[in-house]
Amino acid sequence: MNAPAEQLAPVLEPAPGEPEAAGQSLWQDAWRRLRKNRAAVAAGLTLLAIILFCVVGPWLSPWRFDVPDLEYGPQGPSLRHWFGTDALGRDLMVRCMMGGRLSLLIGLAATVVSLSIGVTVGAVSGYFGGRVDALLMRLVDVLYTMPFIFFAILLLAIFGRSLVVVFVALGAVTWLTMARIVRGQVLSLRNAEFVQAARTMGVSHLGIIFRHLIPNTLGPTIVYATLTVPAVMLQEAFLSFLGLGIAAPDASWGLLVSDGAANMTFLPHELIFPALLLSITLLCLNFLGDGLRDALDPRMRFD
Amino acid sequence: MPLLEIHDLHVTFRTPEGPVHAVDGVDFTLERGRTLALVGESGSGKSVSSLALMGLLPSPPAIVRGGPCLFEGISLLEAPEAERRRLRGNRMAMIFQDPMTALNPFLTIGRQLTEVLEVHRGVEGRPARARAEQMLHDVGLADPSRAFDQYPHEFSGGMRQRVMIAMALLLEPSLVIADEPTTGLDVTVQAQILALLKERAQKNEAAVLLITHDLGVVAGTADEVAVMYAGRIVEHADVDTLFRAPRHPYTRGLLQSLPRLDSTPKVELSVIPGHPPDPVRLPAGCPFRPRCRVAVERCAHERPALQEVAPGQRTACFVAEGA
Ligand SMILES: Nc1ncnc2c1ncn2[C@@H]1O[C@H](COP(=O)(O)OP(=O)(O)OP(=O)(O)O)[C@@H](O)[C@H]1O
Ligand SMILES: [Mg+2]
Repeated sequence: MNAPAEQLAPVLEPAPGEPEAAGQSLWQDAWRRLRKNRAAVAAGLTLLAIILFCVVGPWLSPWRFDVPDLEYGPQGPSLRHWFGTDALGRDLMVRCMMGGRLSLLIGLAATVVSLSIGVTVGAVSGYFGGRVDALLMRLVDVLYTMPFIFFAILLLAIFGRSLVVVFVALGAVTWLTMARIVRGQVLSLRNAEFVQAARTMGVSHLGIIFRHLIPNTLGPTIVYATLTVPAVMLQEAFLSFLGLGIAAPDASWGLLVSDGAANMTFLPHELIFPALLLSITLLCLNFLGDGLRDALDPRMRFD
Repeated sequence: MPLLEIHDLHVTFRTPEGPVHAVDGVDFTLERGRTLALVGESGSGKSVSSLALMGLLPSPPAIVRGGPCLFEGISLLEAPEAERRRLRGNRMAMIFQDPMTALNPFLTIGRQLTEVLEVHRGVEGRPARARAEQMLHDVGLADPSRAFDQYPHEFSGGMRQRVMIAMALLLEPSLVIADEPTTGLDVTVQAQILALLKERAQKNEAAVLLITHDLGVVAGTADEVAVMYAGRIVEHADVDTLFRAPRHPYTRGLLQSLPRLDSTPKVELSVIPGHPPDPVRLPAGCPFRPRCRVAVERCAHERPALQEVAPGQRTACFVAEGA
């Protein structure tokens, strides 16, 4: 009756607080913690450099991405063309920059779509459970069974070939997994005592979902989001490869890599440069994602 | 008019094994500013009753019936969800057993306090912060403005429970339900937390519904005690009366199982033999009969109601009535 075992629970030492002045919000705290993570900072700066390179680069370069240098022809790197030229003699560096603009844009847009739809659907589904959950998850299942490529072809056949269609097609598939991840997280959290406590304080369902539950799921969500970016870039490449996505002379990293792979034996640089950019971006996103996940968990500390 | 008037409250859970009668006709009233301790064995329906009052039982599986249940004149079982949400945190608040898990690990202490001000009063920013810090100060945190920006994991259990009390009393509710608020804490901290809870509640003239297993806590804190058994209140009296002259055989058993300072440690605690009934198959008649030493023929097929057996003492037992 007197629960002696519980009374003998060890005395918990008051934990010493973090020494410096603490921030106001989750994001400010996260930013403070992120800055202390060297790998994440380096990755972030590298990404920033790549973005700048792609966005500003084409204006500074004397070459155009769609006009071949006929005097020069297809050749390796030199002072005239730093990355060399492609099989048609076009400057590869400008093509990499233009491709980067497109790939980064597609990656970012699809991730934003996947985050906003996926997180909302997943959180609502996991929190309310029951019929709402069954309905939303069946919708996700149905969309899952639809082959992505079939969906893309369908959209392209109806609306014609355009970048918007590629965005929609990619966005429509990427939120599905995100929704499942977030649903799983919320499902495991919705019976947590702090959710019950928030309810006893009169917080509404939406308040609980958006203020209490979603911040708790940010770790896995962010990591998955950073994996979405490269995955989407590769899917776009696949579409382009089938002639459904970007059309020449426009470029994306995916398309440049697949062109480069075709000419790998006699123009290896045509594969190396775009592949290098793609892999560095991917690597940086991974580091940044890991760093963000740790930074967003207030229980993690950096010394 | 009493603050809280509960009549014939029933809560049933639909489960695959059949309906679980977790609360089976609870009756009590609570006056403003009083502390009522709800005691009883594990599974007797204490938490479920309090969650039903807060309107926090998920339905399905829970079905809440009976009544009328009046809080500040509002009929709890009939009020729409929006009105009940306005009551929660504002007029009635709750403190949980485990302060380790009842605070959101991803939000600062300050955010969790100001959220309550925001939701119910629309107070934000500087004024909200000032109010929250004042409250943290009132519950005895040494450095409130620093605590405001800290996360729950940076606090010990006792400090977190102080934060929970601050949160619960922030809007000066008239009813505070505390469900085993000190079970997870060590003994010295337990006493401090109970004293704090009582002091803050008295300051606001709030009534406290204190749920506990611990009769020691009851003796030190409560004004009245209600003893629950198998989803019903079997005895309800002032603390003094209950400890001095318990009438229900179950209450007597509980008090005998309480270790005393003057008892020699070798003496075995007398524990009531047997188990509480299965809430899926409650027996006809008095649910305590199978464990009762004084049961009579009538107990097997008739259910005793709570009756006044002495001034200020109500007991649900035929034998006690007759005595
Ligand atoms: N969601 C549920 N579904 C089915 N049965 C439930 C549910 N919640 C509670 N119960 C049952 O209701 C009964 C009362 O539970 P309650 O939690 O109120 O007990 P308690 O008196 O608070 O016990 P403790 O002292 O252990 O906290 C128990 O038999 C329990 O199994
Ligand atoms: Mg309980």
